[in-house]
Amino acid sequence: MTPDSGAGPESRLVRLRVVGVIALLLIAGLVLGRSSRYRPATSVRRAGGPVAAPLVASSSAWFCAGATDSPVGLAPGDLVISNAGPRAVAVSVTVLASAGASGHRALVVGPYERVSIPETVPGTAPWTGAIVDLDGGDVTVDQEISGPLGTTVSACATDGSTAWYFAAGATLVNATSEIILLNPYPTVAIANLTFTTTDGIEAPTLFEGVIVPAGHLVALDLGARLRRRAAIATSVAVTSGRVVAWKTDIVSRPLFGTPLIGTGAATDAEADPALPVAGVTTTLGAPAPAVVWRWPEGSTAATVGERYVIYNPGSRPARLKLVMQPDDSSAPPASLGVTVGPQATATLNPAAAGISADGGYAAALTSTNGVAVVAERTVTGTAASGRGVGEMLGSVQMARDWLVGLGPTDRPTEEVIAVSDPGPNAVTVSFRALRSGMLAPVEGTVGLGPAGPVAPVRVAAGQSVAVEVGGPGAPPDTSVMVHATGPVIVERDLYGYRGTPGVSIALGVPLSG
Amino acid sequence: VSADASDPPVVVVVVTRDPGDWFEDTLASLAAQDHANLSVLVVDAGSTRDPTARVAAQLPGAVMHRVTAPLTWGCAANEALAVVAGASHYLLCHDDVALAPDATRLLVEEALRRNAGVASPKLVDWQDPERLLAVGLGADRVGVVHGLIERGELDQSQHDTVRDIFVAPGAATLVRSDLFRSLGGFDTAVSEQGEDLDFCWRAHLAGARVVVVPAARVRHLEAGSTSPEASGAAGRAGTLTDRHRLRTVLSCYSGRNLLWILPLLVVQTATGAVADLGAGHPSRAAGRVAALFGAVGDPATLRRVRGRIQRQRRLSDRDLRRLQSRGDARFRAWTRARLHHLETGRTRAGAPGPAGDGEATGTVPTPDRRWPLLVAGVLLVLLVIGSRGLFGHDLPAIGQIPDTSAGIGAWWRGWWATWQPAGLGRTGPSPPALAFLVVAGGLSLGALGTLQHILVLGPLLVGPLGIYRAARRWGSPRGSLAATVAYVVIPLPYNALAGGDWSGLLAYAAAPWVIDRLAELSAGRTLPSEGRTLPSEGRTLASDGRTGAGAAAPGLFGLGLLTGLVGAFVPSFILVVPVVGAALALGALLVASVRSAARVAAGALVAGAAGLGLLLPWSIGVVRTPAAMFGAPAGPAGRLGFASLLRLHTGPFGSGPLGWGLLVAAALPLLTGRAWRLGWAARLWAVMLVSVGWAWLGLEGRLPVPPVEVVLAPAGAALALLVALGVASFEVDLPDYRFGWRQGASAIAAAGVALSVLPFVGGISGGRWKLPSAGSSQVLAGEETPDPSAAVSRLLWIGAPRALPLASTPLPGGQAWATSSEGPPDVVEEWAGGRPRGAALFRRDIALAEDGLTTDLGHLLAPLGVRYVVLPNHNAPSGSGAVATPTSAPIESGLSLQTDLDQIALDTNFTVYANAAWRPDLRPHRGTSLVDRSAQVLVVGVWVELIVVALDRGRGRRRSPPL
Repeated sequence: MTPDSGAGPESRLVRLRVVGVIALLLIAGLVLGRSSRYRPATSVRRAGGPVAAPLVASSSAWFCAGATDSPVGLAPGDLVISNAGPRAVAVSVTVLASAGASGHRALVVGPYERVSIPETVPGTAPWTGAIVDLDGGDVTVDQEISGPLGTTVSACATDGSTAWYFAAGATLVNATSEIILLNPYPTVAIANLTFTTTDGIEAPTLFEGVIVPAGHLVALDLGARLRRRAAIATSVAVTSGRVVAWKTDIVSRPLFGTPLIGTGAATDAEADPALPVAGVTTTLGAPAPAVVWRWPEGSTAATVGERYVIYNPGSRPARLKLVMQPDDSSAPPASLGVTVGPQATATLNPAAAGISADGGYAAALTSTNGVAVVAERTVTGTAASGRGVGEMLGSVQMARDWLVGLGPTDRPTEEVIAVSDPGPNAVTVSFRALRSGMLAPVEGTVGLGPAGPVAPVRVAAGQSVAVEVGGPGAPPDTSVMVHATGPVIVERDLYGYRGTPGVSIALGVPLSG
Repeated sequence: VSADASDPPVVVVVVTRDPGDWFEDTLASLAAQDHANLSVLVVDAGSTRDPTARVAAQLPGAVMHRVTAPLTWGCAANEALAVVAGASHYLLCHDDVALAPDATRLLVEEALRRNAGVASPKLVDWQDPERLLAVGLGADRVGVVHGLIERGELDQSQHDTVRDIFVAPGAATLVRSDLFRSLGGFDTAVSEQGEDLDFCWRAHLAGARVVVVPAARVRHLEAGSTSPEASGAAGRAGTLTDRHRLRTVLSCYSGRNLLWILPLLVVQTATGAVADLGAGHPSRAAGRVAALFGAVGDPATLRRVRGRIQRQRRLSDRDLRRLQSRGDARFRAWTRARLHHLETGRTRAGAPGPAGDGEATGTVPTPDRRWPLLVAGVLLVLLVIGSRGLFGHDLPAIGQIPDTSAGIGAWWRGWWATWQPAGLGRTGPSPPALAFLVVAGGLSLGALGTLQHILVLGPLLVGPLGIYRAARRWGSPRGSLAATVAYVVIPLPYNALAGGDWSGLLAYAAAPWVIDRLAELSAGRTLPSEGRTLPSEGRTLASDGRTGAGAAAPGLFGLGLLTGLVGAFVPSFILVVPVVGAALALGALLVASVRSAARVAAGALVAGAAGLGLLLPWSIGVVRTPAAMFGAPAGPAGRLGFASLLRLHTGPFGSGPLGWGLLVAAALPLLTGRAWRLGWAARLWAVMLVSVGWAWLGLEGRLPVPPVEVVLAPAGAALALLVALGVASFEVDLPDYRFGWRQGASAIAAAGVALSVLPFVGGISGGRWKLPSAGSSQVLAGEETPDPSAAVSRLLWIGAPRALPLASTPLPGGQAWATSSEGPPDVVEEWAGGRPRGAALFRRDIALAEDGLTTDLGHLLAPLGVRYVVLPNHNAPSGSGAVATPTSAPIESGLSLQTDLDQIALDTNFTVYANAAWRPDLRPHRGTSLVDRSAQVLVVGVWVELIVVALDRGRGRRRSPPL
């Protein structure tokens, strides 16, 4: 490397040119390069609920659990398979039992059809679950439990996880809480369960190292070790493999004279209180905490005892704010704030926020300090119409297309589809029912409007709308596709009436599109 | 010569032995002395040719005293005691001195005036009397003699003061005759070296003053060939000097002072010997020890001499101490020499300027090797300390770091088989890198662990060596050292090592050599360090003197070989070389050097083409497959800001603000450089900006780009060379500017270089450059693998490209996939030769899972022989210091949906699934291509031939005489 006299960069002009060009390039690079600074990426964990595979999927699978299959079981279940796609789907159903043999069934679900099959096995089983394998997408599978204590409908899971969380639960004199671990994978799973209860953090050895064999389910009665806990939050940590975790709460009628939760007698130290309202709920756990949870439709009616149960499984306190936006857009939003310590729970009563007593509202819980939590809405219906208990995790995902499998029509129920638009823009929502191999209008009522085919509904930004589905002359057993022009959240509520017990609140299932 | 009873009688004693032509001048000067009462005694100490006639011709009145046996100078001078009587003073002279006419008179006058026993004249250079050689000598407390002036100093009468000195140099010394007699003349045991110190020390002890009389000027030739004190070899002379010095010290000090002076001598000797050993002079070290033992080797004689001296003592050691120099004269001399060398270096930096620059042309003097050795030693020690945790065991196979556990046999089979196992496997040419590894393994005699260390850590030494060589050609020794330091401290290689990016390390090693070669092509002239005449621009001068295109061929030959060699391991390097050439061309155009631009661009293209040709037939598939050439793109997760790339901050090192230090220093030649320094600053900045720009655009997904460290390696080399250029500019250009902001800029640039060292020093504390302590292959170490001969068992790797320990094929979103056969990957699977067979099937199945379109991926992959699916979320197992390299969330969640994939809890940093649907496939799955095998054997023959030619060229260059 040597001098180059030929360059002859002696003059000031040459220096100016060289320095100018280099400086210009440097400045341009630094300015243009500011937008892409070094950002170490981090692993993202799936925090959402079940999602239906797209139509073009070659296969998909659903996992359900939490039903009973015995003469004394209070939660007999059915699997509701709804095909929202234009082609038939081959379905393979394996019903697993917590004890005894499993059952298998194959069927085909035609396009835009809904099929319901009992979640039973040859013989009997205390608890059952199911693995539903499909050779296509755009299909959802719901688990519908309908027994003497009421009806509850919830979507099955599409994904296993190494962690599951439940915010609510109770083991009282008339309440049992059962955790059902389903392992649909080809390897054994081992799980540890820990609890945050009214007595503090508990980790009974009975719930350590729980082995869930491949293709099996295991039911764990929390009352076996955690008796008389009015509130139980559960963490399931899977140390090997993955599982799907469900919780089934069964509340029987309290015996006469038993002190009831919510009354003064129940506060006595010697009291053995009971929940006041009977019912059954089946809830799929949350695979991960989140910083935002949303519920499309809440109620502050006097006959509905609604609470938000929050569980912070983390190691830092979570500062939370619950904002409730009434369906009546003229009403102002209300909010509540709370700080939940690490490994602790808290309960918020929306009535305390002074929200309007009439109509529904959409709620959103946000962690203001970024500490993720798990939050559920619990409902205790005491009215003659809609008597029972319900429980629902908030939603962490939004979508334009949802599929809602409605409840049974062999008993009188009032079914509501609520659509919430948490986004900044208004959306238009349309409803179509799967019926006889085609898409048909949905019969129902929007607000105080007349009954009939439900027309597309405009939902303002931040607002929600409720559609009461069914009514006189409405066709039975249907599932409804909800399409919105923007991301929305869809909830389905079910209330028994004419003396029929049961309250069910659950999210619909987003379709991948 | 003359006789005047009023003047003290002085006898000049000239000791000679076979004098040269200068002797007549010596005699003539004596004849010209204006001292009135002067006699001359010439003592011939054993000349083979009788000088009597020559003496008689010049000094007819001189007394000639011949001794047939060779005598040392001291012994010969002592002859005066026997031959001369009645003189008041002796003027003891060498035969290579020429006295000024008034020298003797002035010496005598001053000796009488000062009552001095010994008087010494001012010694000046024989050829250039304006240059001083000595104005008396000093000595420290251990007798180390040193000059009192700067040798070679211009005589401006600045030292013309009569003063007491400790040693009178032996060339010409006036001694009072009674003193000389009472001391017994020179000690005959102290001969050839150190007589003057010994005699003067004894004179001091006897109470005589020793003075220098600068008014008396004596020219001294220092004719070593005839001078008795320089008659021995240099090493022997040094040993003798030490020996005689120690003998003088041991004999002159009082017994009490010997109690501390003796241990001091032992310590100094030991320290000096260790220093000599460290500097690579074992014989000198041995000489020091021998001198000490020689000095005390004859205790009886020493005791007798001591007794005589101590009996004559008139002066205490304390009084004598006032005449001695303080401190350590040897250390002071060494420091002064270093400063002198640095000063010389500054002068040299200006030397290589071209004739057209209006600067001095000339040859570059022989550089001082001590500083480079010292700096190299320090850097080597730091690198060893920084890598200490990597020694003593195999390096973990992180990323592309070669796993040598398979052995030479596996490499050979991998090369010979012409089977590319990627995907479903297909026949095709094998990577030439395997052939090189086989050769290297053979040369290492099977020490594959050592070979692995050399392959991975060697670039940390080869790169700086290359940059030193390249920067040395600027002609500034300090610049070369600064460039070496800069290249060592840039974070690039350590980031590459931390991420397991072996290709980045290889590029780091090769980049300086490539730029050096390209720059030589660009410059079109020879190297100033070789000291040859610079031809006119546009012609290249070869080592054999050829010019023109023929002269460029050797440079291209070496560059092509280098490109091919590195390209075998880093295929994208074949493209990097032409890009660097294009950048140099752009820089040349910026300074309007069109011919230079054309030369370097053409040369780089030819070198790239040569590299491709040397890697045939494998390179055909590489060129046709972007993934094989560039690797899988890093995607959004791998994006780096322009500023980070500019600071070479591509990983855990280089994040702090101190990383800007070198860039600040690199700006100096732009601001202060002139002529070729400014021209080359423009070129090197062009290389930097093109490299960084390419890397940035590539990471943004707008251009295909090799691994980022490979692209940035030329930028790192250019940065270091710019630092060297800044130093050269500081040395050459800055003195011509008036004092102003440029001096401030130079100080800031120096501070920038100094500060940039700090992060490097901080980085060595970990001991392993953040390289994880375990490789990904250990994740599956315990898993059962089937008999390879019985069934196909593949591992499907899906994740970030940097996390995959083998050649990968890109997926959308900055992810990639790869397969390894029969267990974890080994080095055979590190290079792709083209698109893997079955790539479409793998990609389709992965996409199905990623999009959530299947829950039966295991069934889809089973026919492809996939038994395990591995998703690395880090580049190494947990607890090993791994770097996070997350697999994309859709892939991860898509895989988690699969009901026929069994997640194995092996390591938290890796998500591993066992395929429950896998069944052994017993179909044969390997093949051989005889055509490819023949072609690659042929290419090996070409390589062998070229290497032989290169070796011959190297030997020829070393044998060729300098021009």
